[in-house]
Amino acid sequence: MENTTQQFAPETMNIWVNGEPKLISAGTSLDGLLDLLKLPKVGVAAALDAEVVHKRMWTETILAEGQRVEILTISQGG
Amino acid sequence: MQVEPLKLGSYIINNRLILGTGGAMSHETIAESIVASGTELVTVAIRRIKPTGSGQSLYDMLRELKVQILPNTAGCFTAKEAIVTAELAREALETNVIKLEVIADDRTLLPQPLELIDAAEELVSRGFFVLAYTNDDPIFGRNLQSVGVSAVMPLGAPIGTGLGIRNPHNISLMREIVTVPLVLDAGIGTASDAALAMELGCDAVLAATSITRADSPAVMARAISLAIEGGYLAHRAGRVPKRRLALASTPDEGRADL
Repeated sequence: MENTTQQFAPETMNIWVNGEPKLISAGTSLDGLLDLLKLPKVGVAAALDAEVVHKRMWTETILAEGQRVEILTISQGG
Repeated sequence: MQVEPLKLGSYIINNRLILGTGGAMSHETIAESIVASGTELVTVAIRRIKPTGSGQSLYDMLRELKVQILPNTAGCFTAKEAIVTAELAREALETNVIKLEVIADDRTLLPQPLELIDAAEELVSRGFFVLAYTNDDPIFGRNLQSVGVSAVMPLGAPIGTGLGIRNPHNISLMREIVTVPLVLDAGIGTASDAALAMELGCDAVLAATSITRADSPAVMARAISLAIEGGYLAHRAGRVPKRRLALASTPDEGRADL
């Protein structure tokens, strides 16, 4: 008998983006997330569970259920 | 005499004002202050991205104005936070230069030296040019220099207070002890404070609140920029010693007998 998680083969997953919950398609990459959110990719940095993910790794970084994504840019500051 | 270019990490600036963008009412105010002052280097924080809608992002605006962007670690309380923030800044801006701020609490915003020096050492080992915001402690300035920072940035007074340089003697001592660039950071209230910083031997001044929250930010930006140049020249001109009693500047010779 299949266990619960297999029974509901996840087509979507919940992640956290900048502290807000977000339901996205399973298999979405970090790069895909930025596309989905219509965010610029220049002047931007991303961290996954508090670890910086270099830009060259964005496409191959596939997000997983429950992960915390931080997408940052510059803002006013002394 | 001309103002010589100053090297801060991998950045070279010809204008000795570093403009902090915190506290500005709008991006337009920042742009006007940049143009009015002639600054070539502006500081920014690293924060969560927000959709900008139809407006131009700060990043795009600064790139259009062709100023160099100096990211900071404002708001970090620990070395760990500051290191990750610096890495994010490097990733976002493709720069190895970081203005390192590690503060102790929200009330004073004073630097937390123990965390600061750990972060500075680690960031230097990771290839960063660290410009370290610090207390006006000459010996700690030397400690920072010994771990390899590219500039020491003492406060004149706590951030945003506009109290000027509370301890000019310490800044003067720092100038004697620290051989890397010394940048007066925080506490500037008005143009004369910036002039004093330069007269004491600082290599540059960072001003944010004093400009961004002035009634006329662009006018204050220009005023502070001019004061910095004045102070720079005065420091090199060799001021007269202070005297207790008067010394006539007009000769007695040739005076009429009346």
